[in-house]
Amino acid sequence: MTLTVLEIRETDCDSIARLVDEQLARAPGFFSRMPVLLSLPAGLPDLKRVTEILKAADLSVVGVLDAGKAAAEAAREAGLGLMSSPGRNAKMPEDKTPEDKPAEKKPERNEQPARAAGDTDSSAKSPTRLVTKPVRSGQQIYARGGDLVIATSVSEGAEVLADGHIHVYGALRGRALAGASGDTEARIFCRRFEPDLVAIAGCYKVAEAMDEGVLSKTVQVRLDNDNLMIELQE
Amino acid sequence: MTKIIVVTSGKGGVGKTTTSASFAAGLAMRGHKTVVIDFDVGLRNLDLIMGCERRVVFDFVNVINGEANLKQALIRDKRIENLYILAASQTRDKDALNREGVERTLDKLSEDFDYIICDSPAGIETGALMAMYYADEALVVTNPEVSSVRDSDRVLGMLSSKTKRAIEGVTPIKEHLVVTRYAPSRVGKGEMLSLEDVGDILAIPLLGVVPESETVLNASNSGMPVVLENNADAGGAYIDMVARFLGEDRPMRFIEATKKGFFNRLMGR
Repeated sequence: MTLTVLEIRETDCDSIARLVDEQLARAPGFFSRMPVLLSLPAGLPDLKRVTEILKAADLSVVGVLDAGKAAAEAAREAGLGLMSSPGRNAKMPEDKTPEDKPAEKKPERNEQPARAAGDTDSSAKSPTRLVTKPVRSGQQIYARGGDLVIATSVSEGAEVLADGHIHVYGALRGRALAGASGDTEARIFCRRFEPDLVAIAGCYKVAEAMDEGVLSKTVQVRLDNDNLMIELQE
Repeated sequence: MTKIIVVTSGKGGVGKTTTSASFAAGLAMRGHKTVVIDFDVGLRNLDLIMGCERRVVFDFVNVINGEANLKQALIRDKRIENLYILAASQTRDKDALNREGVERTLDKLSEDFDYIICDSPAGIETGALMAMYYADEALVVTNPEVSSVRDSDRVLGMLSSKTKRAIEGVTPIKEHLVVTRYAPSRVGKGEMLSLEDVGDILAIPLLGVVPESETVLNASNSGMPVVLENNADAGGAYIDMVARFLGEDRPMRFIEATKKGFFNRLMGR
């Protein structure tokens, strides 16, 4: 099972509300009624208000991820559950206030995500989604938490998304967004490249900005230091 | 076993009603008892194309609302045996259609008819959805131009997700591509999409190609399904189309530009 984590970096509720609105406006209806876990910043925002904001945006908050002591307390008051990410110790990390940033703690923090990533790999049962029918204009397909394999074509005006890689064995004429939740390693492979737009981890390129030489060709799209590379595949 | 066939396109003005009329007439001419229903409530046109506009007493909405029975509302075609028309209401709008009413009507028609042709309105709203909801097969009518092809693509997506067959997960609707207003000479000049382009994008089997033709307009204006026009190119295309639909193997016609002879060129024809 995969759960979407909403990472909150702001503590001001108004700017959180604005950012949530902006995010949702990009994909109306897409996150509708999606259960989310909150990942909270050090200086805690008002959790009750955050829950209300998200509820108003049609998201349902199920709990708080890797909560520190203060966050756990706030979560209990707001009636939210607690969860820890896979690979983390049962012991919660210490609460970090903004002034609490000793240099020697840094390596430890860096190490944890790495370990977590390793664990996800070993238990990788990422559900690859296979689509065998043409993806028609107006349709949207999202492979949450995995790769997307499309055996046919993606029409103009259709949108395919995956948290992992996207493979299109026919023509890609619509939009393809790989690494939809931020994985910069994700790639797009396609037999015939004529898209409206391609994006990896939020870095995108529209058809107009693409080199004519790659059109209708077999290509791979990858991210190289925030540069979206569209490469011919022989 | 009655077959319900929706004629749909997404875009308006591509030839849905013309195709519905001629396809239904063609099936009836082959001896199949056929009824064609106008789902374009509020913008009824089928009766004009079929030339029965002065004989409409009760319509589809009357039947749905129980204000008339089917026998009263069905209009028998005077030229072709086995062909019946159920007109739309001009004074109502699409909200007059509801799933239960449409289903009841189609069930009742299924007792008597071999084929039920549903002439869909343009768009992707209630009317179009109602027309396609109970379909077994679909004729997707497309003009060889980009906007029409994109809209047809959208409709194909709806056929495979919003219809009864799709929702119940049984055998999906059988889709057929009908390309109308095709002008091979303009394809040659790059002014129109070619059949290959259209087929490549929509990826469904081609049932027929109807050439751009004046006879279609003339036939429509005189209330005559173009399939009845003798010697008409478009009429021939519809006769072929019906034959293919019934399982016959007929080569595609009207897909190559006719070479202009010296004399014709001289005369500007």
